[in-house]
Amino acid sequence: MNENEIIIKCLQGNPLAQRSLYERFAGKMYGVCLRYARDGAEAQDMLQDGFVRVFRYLEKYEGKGSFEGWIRRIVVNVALRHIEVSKIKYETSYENMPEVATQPSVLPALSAEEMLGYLRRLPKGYRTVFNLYALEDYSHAEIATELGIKESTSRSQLLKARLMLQEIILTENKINVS
Amino acid sequence: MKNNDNIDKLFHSEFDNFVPPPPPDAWDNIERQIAKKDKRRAFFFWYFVGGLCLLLAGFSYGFYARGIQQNTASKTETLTINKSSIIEKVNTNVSPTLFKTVNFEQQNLSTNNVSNQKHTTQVTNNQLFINKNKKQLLFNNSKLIIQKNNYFNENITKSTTPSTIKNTIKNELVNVESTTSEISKSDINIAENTNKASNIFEKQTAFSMLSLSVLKFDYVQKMMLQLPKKPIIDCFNFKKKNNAIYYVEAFFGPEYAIRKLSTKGSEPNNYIQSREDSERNFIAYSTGIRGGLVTKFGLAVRGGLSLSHNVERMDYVNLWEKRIIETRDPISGATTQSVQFGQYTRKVYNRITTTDIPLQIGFETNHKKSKWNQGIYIGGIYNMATYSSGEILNPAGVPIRFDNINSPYRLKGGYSLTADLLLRYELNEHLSITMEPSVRYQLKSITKDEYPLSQKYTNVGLHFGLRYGF
Repeated sequence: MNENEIIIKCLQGNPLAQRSLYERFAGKMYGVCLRYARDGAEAQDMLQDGFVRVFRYLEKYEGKGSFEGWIRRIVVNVALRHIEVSKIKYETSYENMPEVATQPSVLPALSAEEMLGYLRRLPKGYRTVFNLYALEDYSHAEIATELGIKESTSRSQLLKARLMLQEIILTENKINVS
Repeated sequence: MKNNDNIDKLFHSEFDNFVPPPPPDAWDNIERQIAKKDKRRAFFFWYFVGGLCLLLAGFSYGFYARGIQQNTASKTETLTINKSSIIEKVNTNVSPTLFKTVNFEQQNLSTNNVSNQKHTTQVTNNQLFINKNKKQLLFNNSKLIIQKNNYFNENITKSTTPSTIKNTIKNELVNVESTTSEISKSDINIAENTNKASNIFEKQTAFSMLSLSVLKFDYVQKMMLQLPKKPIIDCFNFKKKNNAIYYVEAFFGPEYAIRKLSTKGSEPNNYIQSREDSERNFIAYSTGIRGGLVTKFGLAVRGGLSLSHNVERMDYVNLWEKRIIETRDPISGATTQSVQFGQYTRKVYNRITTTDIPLQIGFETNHKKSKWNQGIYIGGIYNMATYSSGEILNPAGVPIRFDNINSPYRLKGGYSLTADLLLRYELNEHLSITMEPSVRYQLKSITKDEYPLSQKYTNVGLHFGLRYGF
């Protein structure tokens, strides 16, 4: 079954097509969820809720843009709802930033699992903004709307996230910065 | 900046191809949840179908009944009664006033001159004409058409019912002092036929409802099975921000009850004054549960069950209360009486608790970007039960204890108008807290008919609620 056939059959309530759709995108979407979640259990909840919503609102998909992108958008929205972005307290000041003396021009090669570990060490606010900006390609304006914060807050959170990630990576990989 | 971009790229490139195996039990959970949603959707679909059936049945009934009226009217217009069709003319003891509540089209039914021209002349003698061929009964100053297997009975005023008239006719026919032997069994059968006809009418109504039920369980169910698993009608989509939202909520809030006492006519105003002076508002509140629906256009309807509690304090002081004290001699057993005057004070909390069914319509906002929403509701409240107890002054100015048995207040019934202004704050996707300034105005006195005063309340309150939206 190609993608269109799967969508049509899912709309007709065909369980096989639903399973097929799930299997096609579950892995990738689980990867997305893992980036936002604090652990595997929370990621699983996000994944489940995300797919329930995908099936529920499938008829709203108008065929514009990639189907994967549409699913991903839903999953990201669900993930944001799960981590209760409204409760995150963001610091807008540029003070108290992690200090990184000099930054290396080359970063070590890291596996996705390692990166996931580093991401999870970030505070929730940093991680969320970094995920949306660097990995979902949201603009600061979009992030501001989505999270209900100012654009300047989004920028400062991103900056802090990057610096903190860098520090973690350097520390973990014992890279000396001269 | 360059290094920042490096970090972004590093993560982006690695996570682009990151496809971890999903948890093994995730699909089972998703499947279960999809099935659950479908069930919930199906419930509301059937709820909708049920409502539609009721509506259709109501319309069918209305149109059917209207059809009968029109049918009768046309028959009345075109009915031609000629002399030969009247077989019997009998003198009866049917009083012309007996059917005074039946105001039928009048016709000139003089025995020698029968026509269908309308006129208003009253024929004073009590005569009953029977047209057996057409199965009609014709009364002197009115006409009642009874046909086999059809029930036509028109222009009956509100003070009587068709069944009352039918029974009356039947009884009168039985008791008729007939001067001929022609009026007997068969004519009574005609009257009986009206009952049969009525049954047929009821059966037809029942059948139409049954048909709708069959439609529901046959066609609609088949249709349902063939439908794709998507929201059947958009307003039953649970998508929160764009479509209809169903909710249940519980509320509680303090109120201030403004009481209005007025006389029903003969009672002097000083009784009102004595009650006003002796009673004052103490505390009032309302609590309840309700369910509602807000469409994507913001139109809203809600109903439920509520409990209202009005407590008033009665203070009564009689500085010259008369008491008769009886003293018994322990030896002789003789009793002596003495009269004392002293201060007598009563302080009683009177309770009026009502259980009500509110039904309201209104409008609610559903902002996408704000957690705050507003709304307005208006509607009616039907009082299902009232419990009261306490003590009030009677017209003679004496405090009388009452409870539900001898209460001056009704045990149920009565309507109120209500209006609420809603302010709602969304805590999360499902939960909201609400705050509603509310006003309730009683249309009918809460006192019983035999009680001399009318007593109405206007309750102004602030209700706080917790809402769960589906």
